[in-house]
Amino acid sequence: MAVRASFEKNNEIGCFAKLTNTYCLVAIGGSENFYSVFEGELSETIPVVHASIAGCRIIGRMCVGNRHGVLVPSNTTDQELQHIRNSLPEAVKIQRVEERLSALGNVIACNDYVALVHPDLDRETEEILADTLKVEVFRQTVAEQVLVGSYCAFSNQGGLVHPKTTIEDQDELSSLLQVPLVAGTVNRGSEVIAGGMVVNDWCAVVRTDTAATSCAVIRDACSTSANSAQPTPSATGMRDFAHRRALLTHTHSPDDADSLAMAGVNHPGYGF
Amino acid sequence: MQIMATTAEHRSVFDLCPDDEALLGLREVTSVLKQPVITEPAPHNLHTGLEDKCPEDDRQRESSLTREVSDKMVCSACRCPFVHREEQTEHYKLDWHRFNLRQKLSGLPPVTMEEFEKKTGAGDMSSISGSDSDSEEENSNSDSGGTSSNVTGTDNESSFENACRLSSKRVFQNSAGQYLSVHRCILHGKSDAEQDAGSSLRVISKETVWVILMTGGGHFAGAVFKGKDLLQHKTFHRYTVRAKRGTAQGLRDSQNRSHTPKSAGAALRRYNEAALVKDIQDLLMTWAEHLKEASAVFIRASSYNKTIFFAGRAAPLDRKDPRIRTLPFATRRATFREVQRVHEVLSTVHVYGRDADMSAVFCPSKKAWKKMGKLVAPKNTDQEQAEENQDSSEKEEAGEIQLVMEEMTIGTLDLREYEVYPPRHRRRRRKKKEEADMQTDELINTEADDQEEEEVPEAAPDEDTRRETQQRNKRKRKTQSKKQVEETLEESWEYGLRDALFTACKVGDVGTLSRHLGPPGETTKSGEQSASSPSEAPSPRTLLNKPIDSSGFTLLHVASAAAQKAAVRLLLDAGADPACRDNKGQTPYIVAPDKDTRNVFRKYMAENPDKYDYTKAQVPGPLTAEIESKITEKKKAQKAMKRQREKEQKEEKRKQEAEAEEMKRFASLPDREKRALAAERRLAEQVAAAGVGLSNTKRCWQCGESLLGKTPFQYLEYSFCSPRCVQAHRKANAPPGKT
Repeated sequence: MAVRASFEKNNEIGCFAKLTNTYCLVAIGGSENFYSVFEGELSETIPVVHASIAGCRIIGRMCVGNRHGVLVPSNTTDQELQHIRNSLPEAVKIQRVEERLSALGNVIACNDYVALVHPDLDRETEEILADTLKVEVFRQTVAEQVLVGSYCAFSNQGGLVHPKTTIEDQDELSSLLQVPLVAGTVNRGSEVIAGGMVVNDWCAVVRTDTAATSCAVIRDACSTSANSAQPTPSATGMRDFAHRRALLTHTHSPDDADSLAMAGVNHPGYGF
Repeated sequence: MQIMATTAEHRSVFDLCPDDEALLGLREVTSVLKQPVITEPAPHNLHTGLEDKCPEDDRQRESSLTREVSDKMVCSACRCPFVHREEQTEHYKLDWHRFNLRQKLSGLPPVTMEEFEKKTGAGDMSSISGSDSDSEEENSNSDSGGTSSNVTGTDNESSFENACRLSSKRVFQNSAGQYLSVHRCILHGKSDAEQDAGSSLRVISKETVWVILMTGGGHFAGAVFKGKDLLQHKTFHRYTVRAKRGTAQGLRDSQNRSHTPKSAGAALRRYNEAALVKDIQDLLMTWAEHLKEASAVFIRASSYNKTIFFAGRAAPLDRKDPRIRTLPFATRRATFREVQRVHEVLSTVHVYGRDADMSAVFCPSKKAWKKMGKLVAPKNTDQEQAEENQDSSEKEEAGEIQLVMEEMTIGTLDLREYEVYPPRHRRRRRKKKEEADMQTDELINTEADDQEEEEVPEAAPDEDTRRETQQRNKRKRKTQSKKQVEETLEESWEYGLRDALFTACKVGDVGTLSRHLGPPGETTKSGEQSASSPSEAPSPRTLLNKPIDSSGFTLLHVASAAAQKAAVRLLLDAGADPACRDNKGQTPYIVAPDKDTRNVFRKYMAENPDKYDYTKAQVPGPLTAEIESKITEKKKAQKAMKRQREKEQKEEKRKQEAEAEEMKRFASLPDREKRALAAERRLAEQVAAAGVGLSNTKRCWQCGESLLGKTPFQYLEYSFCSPRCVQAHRKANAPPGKT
């Protein structure tokens, strides 16, 4: 894999981690601080797997997954696939997909029931998505942006969308996805929602810079739900996590940007 | 001729006879007027209103933070509301939605479902199915009218490129000052450009033979035209482009021997490539006569496909032939329809008035035309009318001065406006005529009034007839427009009905379905009705046996595939034929996903054995209640058998387990105890054989007295009641050597 300097100041944790209700993938080669946050919070309930995809550490942008499975792009190596397979629970399916838009995390946003996808996504990918992740697939844009995976993040309980999403669009998306949505920002006003946070049904990890107000909005948006049948293991986990956000730090180095360009993916953190 | 002064007229090149007035004093125009590109106003954004107010709304929303799942079910891209969740989820899977999403992203207004249907119905169905941006190709011939929305940005760019390159058109001016523009390629080939183009234009007549040959992607379409008439045509299709390959794989065959694709698919493709070439060459052989007499052969083929026509031992065409021309515009898949379109485009002559700005012809920017039209449209009608009147009144005096004025100020604008709005123009002219009529009418009226005293009986009928004709005219127009409106209404109504039926079948909404189809008893009646009045709007029953979607599914297919048993039953009752096949040749019975749905068909067959052709519908046999009960009985018996078998097996298993347990226990015992157990068993057997039981085995070995409760005297393994008994026993059993 590409050798990189450690990412000590990058706040786009959504790029370096993928969090679902049954597992959590984190990029390899991060600092112990980074891992300890995830492991301390999650390892009692779900496995925290250290992995890379296609030699990249931006696994959050490369793959997409939920409780039922995980899709990885076709340039994932066999070894990486084997490692992820061995580390995840048996019930989680893993599937490699041949898709032109290989940064699956940027073009697909999903929870355990529905997925929002880029309008140009391949039909076959759509089918695989529906079969593997057991979701209903909808083609739609978020605030006129096609990279739906980057500009929104939602769990089964609720979600956050691009701050410039109109009320009408929010209503449409909300009725489509059947989760309450709020327009907001993370990372001190960053509109690339999925780059700045990862979320599942009981916890959300946001980056250090996130303002307290944003944090509150996220907590409210993602934890409470009027019509949720899922047991919510408390908002306390989320609160604790929000308090510990100071621990989440990452690096940003030019080296990283280069390797991203090499991987040929759109990385929201670098404003392509 | 007044009309021609302002609008571009389309004429066929074959209609221009050599002595036509349009061709008198023809000379070519080559100088391209340099005109600064008019900066277009920013496209009217339909969403500006929404976007302007969004920040405040966002803030409001954030402050209130309702966080409820919204129940407003509407697609913003297609602007259509939904009633059910099913409808909504289905909608997001439609091609229509995808198309509108793209429209939205490129800032264009959405198209309605009907428009989209028309578009895909008219063009190639496959163009929307892929994930790449095929649909933009559809827009390439936007000059066909109808929808004005499908002009893309690429058109604009390409036309500017055109302006930079040599124009594909040649423009002539005749003695009347009119401009004629035709495609360069119909006049001469690449090599003989020096030849007098005007004379070659004059040569084209109704007897001119043109051959158009198009290939690409395994398709071939060819046709021979004589003037406007079609003499011969033929199309082929072979599998030569491998799915998702992106490029023609055939290119790799010739590049490097060792890297040639070796898969089975590649072999198939290679075979078909050769077969296509052979097909085409055979065909052209039979067309040799036409090819010989043709004055021009138009070829559309990619560079590596050109070998089909020019290579080989008996090449049908010569590469150096001056009659060979390439098509100077974009074409779509090689089909017969496309060949016809190409012929029409090639043979069109545009005739412009003498005051037209020819730079627009040399550089036809379609987008600009459209915008201009829109901008000019809301001009004051009075003024226009005044102009119009002036034009018509000063037919002859509209001399040089006014012409110059026009050129300086609104030369192109005028041209563009008329280009886009011919129908409106016509209407206005008609109105004008009417007005004139009315004026004369009034004149006559007054005259009549004046003359009334003198000749009443003569004037009155005259007036009446005039009025009548006028009214009749009006009525006619009205009915015409009404008919049009009705047609469109009917169309959309039919569409809505189809949609409703489809949804009802998919969801199994029996209530809606039966409401639409009417009570089942009325089948024949409504059938008669529709037969008696075919001009009426199509009843839902006529839709029953028609394919309702792109895969050729009828309503019955839809209901069957969705496993909606009640809907299937209802449709069969209503007269939906189960023998209808979809595009794959599957009947509704075949597409049913589960046994229960299939049984609905079989049950129906049992009840109505003669209603439909069930062998054609591939329904295997009737399913009566009798058979069903038999089957259930059989099943019950089978179940009972199975239960018994299971019981036995369980018993067996238990036994085996017990045995295994015992084995284990026995194996773990020490040898001594095993021996003891064996002895015990033997004793027990002996006892059983003797018939007498020895209850107590602890007795003196000599006298047999019971040892229970006593401490016995023992030697070796023998025990005795007293020392005397020991002695006696020892004596009796002493080893013989000692005595």
